[in-house]
Amino acid sequence: MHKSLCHEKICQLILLGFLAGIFLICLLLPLPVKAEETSVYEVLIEDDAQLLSASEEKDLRAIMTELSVYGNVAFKSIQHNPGSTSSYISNYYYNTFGSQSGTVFLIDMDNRYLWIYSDGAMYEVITDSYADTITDNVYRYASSGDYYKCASEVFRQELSRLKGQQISQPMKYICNGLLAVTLALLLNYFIVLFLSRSRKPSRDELMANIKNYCLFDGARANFVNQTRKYSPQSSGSSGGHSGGGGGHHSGGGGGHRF
Amino acid sequence: MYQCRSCGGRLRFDIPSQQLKCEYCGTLYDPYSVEDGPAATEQSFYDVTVFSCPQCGGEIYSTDVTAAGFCSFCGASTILNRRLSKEQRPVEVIPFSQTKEDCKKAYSDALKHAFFAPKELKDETYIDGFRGIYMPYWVYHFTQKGPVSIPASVSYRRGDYIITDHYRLTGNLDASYDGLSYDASSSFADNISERIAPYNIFESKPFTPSYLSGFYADLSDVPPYVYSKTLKETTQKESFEKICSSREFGKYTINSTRSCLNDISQQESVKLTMFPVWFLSYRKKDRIAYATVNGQTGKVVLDIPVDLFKFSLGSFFLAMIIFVLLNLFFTPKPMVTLLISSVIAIITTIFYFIEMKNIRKRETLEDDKGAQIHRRFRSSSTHTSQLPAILSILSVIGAIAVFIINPVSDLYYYGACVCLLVIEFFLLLELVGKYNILSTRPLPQFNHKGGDDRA
Repeated sequence: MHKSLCHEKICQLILLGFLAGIFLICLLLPLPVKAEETSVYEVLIEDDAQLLSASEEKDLRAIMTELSVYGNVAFKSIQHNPGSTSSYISNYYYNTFGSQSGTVFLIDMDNRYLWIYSDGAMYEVITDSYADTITDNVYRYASSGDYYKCASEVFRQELSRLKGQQISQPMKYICNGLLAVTLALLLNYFIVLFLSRSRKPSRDELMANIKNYCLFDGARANFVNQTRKYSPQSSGSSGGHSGGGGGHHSGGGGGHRF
Repeated sequence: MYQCRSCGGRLRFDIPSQQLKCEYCGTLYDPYSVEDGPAATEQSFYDVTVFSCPQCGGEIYSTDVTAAGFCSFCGASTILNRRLSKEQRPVEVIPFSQTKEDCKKAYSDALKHAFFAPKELKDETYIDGFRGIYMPYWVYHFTQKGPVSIPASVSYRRGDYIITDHYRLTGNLDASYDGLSYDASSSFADNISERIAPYNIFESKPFTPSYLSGFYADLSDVPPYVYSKTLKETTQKESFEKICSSREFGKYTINSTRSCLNDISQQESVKLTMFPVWFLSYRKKDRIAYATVNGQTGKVVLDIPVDLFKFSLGSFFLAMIIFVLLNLFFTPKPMVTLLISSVIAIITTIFYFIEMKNIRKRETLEDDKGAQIHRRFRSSSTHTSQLPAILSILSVIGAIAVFIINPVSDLYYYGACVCLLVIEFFLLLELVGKYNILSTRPLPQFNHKGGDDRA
């Protein structure tokens, strides 16, 4: 009887593990985005920092054209940028494509930053986290000065993602796996601590269970003396704080230093 | 042993009726009616049978002559040695009011949420091993009677000055605390007796040995002075707080501590009283865990070790859920991941040090004044290794270095992160091991008759 119960429990655990595995696989399978039948979107290369040769630009345009069935595509490189890369690229996107679906890859040579910004239908697939992943995958090319390889890999990985394929992100799974294991151990440890340690009774509880009384009569406060301490009052005043809201952008992205 | 006057059967204390009951004919007797006359109550010692464990030297006694074949203290299944003796007669007793069935139910309820407890702890046969033991307690009576004078002040601002008016608060205190208790047995750990409290002293009755019939009792071997200071301080704190928070003195800032009541505090009396405890021990290798249930209130205090296999399996399934959630909602940026890992490492290391401090306290009996009297110290070196924590600290320092250098390449971040998490993984397993040391105890080594830990 006891053995069969044990087996039953083991079976339940295996089943649970199996179901969790299936659930995990289902979650990780990406869904492809439906492409427009004919390309109606724009392909734009603005290499202000002169990072690509003419032939490289041509090859890059070919890759970007494949992407343009899903939305507008732009490659932008800049030499000078006094502000942040993220604000530059969001402004650039809205000045160029407005609120249409699209993606922009920016190489900011001033801040030495790569950034992918997407919006509309493309942003539903090239999310912030995928933008981070793609820039994580390609920043080494930019670091070594191979900007064409860097840009072409960005658009290739975006294309793979839009076609419903997986992008290699081994560090994500390794880090998440290790984080999950350590967090699980830590959480279970806290559960064990919380559930197993009984507390001492409070003084009030102890007093409620013994014979006790405490009478205090003739209470008097006798004045002894007075002391004064110089302590000038602060004359400072605190300033107010006001802030303002900016325009609303529905897109987003992510980047990486190089 | 007490015999039925009608059939000669054995009389045992029956908890539901609070009477002595014949095992055969069911006749009930008042516990005081079976005493050997008024002369017996005036004697300061009474006859008992002492059972001692040949392995750990632990001793319990009873008014019965038959003993179960296992030791409650070390969990050894052995034939206990038996001898007749005279023991100090307690003044009062709180009889058992929780039956064994109540106790087993309370224990099972308490263990319901202990997901990672060894399955043996939930085994019916094991649970049936609960033994009713009367634990000797010193019950103290403290008073504070006399004038009280407490320095106090009231401060307020007037312009650029803070004015402080100094006062002396006076009055007459008349306080009495009768019934505060501490266990008088060195074999009953203070950290159990403190948690199993409180006992309602209003239900105590004059002692008669017949209350022990069907139960065992532990020997009192800790002198009453051991806990006097602690309890005196408790009563002083209580009175002091009551005075300070009184309607008359509530507005003053008190510039004194409870020690101002030292001169008027007095220990009026201390009496030996037997408190009921249901007791069960679980032995694994050279460690032992105790389960105790307050025989009056049913409050449960458990040492619950963790079954490492169950814990690992539970953690594995939880890790799978967390992994899925992380992949859904969290794409690790190298810096953020390293930051999270460092925070986990710091938390784990802090807990590791806390556990080590607690283990050191436990193993050197710092938290057990009663056992300190008998100097049952144990080496703690094997359980308080600092190496894992040092490795964890070094890995956090490494992570901080990566933050400061802030390299472009993610590999440095991921490398530091993996290194941190792997070390934390092993540190957490060590931490669970430390928890198991804290939730169990070393095998007892009593002075009564020798004994051997390795037995």
